[in-house]
Amino acid sequence: MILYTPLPLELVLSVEEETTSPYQEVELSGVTLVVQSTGTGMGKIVQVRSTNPNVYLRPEFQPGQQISFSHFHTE
Amino acid sequence: MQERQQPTAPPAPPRQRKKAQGVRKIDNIKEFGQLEVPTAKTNIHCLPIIGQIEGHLILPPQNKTTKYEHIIPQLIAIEENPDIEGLLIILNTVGGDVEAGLAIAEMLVSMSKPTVSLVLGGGHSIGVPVAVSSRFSFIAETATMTIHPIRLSGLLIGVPQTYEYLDKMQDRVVRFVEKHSRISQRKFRELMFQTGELARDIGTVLVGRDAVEVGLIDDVGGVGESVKKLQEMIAEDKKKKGDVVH
Repeated sequence: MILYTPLPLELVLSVEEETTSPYQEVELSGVTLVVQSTGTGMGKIVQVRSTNPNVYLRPEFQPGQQISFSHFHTE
Repeated sequence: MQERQQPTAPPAPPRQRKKAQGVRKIDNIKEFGQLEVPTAKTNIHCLPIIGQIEGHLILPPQNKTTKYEHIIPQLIAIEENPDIEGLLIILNTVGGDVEAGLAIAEMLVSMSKPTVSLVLGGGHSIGVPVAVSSRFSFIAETATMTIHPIRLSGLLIGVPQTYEYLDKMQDRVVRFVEKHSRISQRKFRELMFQTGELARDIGTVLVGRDAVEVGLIDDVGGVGESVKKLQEMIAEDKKKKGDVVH
């Protein structure tokens, strides 16, 4: 793999103490969300992953919203 | 964001309730408030490419990344969906994996629908081929693009072939940029190997209009210009298709 970036490689590739990402992907009503787990089956929306600009206007998908996703398939 | 203590969401007006029953998954969203889902349709979709473009290897978690396994299926879905007529690519990237970046760029080039890219903030290194891969490209006045040589990292075998391999990889990027923008290969290489421009590297930083002047980007503009251009291109495409039918 060749990284083509103006950032110093030691910055990009340095591994910090906590290597596990606290985020997970959840799909809710057809939209993929990146959520930060706040408890079992609970999470806070960090990022919405969609190319449909209208999805970003939906109030339930605003970043920071608490969601419950225990019944859904998570990756 | 309001905190709601009630265990159930407040009853929605009868007209919207029917719609909500159709989307049952929504019931599970906490602190939902109104069940008012905007139904406005859009004929353009937007694809943000942010942070590092991540390819064959997962980067350490301190990096913000755009993963090619997310982007590529989205591009196929956009190409396939008849409701989507155009794509706006928003770039604020510091580069990343050469193969992943070129893969995304090649996908964008081969799309049959109108595409417009907008470089906001930065479109560096491998972000350059991605930016020029759209049919029309914009750069914000303050946005920058860094053009510099490709480097190899890690353990290298010190043989002449290593240099040739690196040169070949660099040629892939240079040729792509030359083919899909107005810049000449000579000019692009000149910018790439410039000294005295970057603090700890060789190369050039192009700010807004500079990128247009060297022929890399088509015009300076923002969201308004990009969406307008995209809608114009969609109208033009429709007209062309109409002409073929008659």
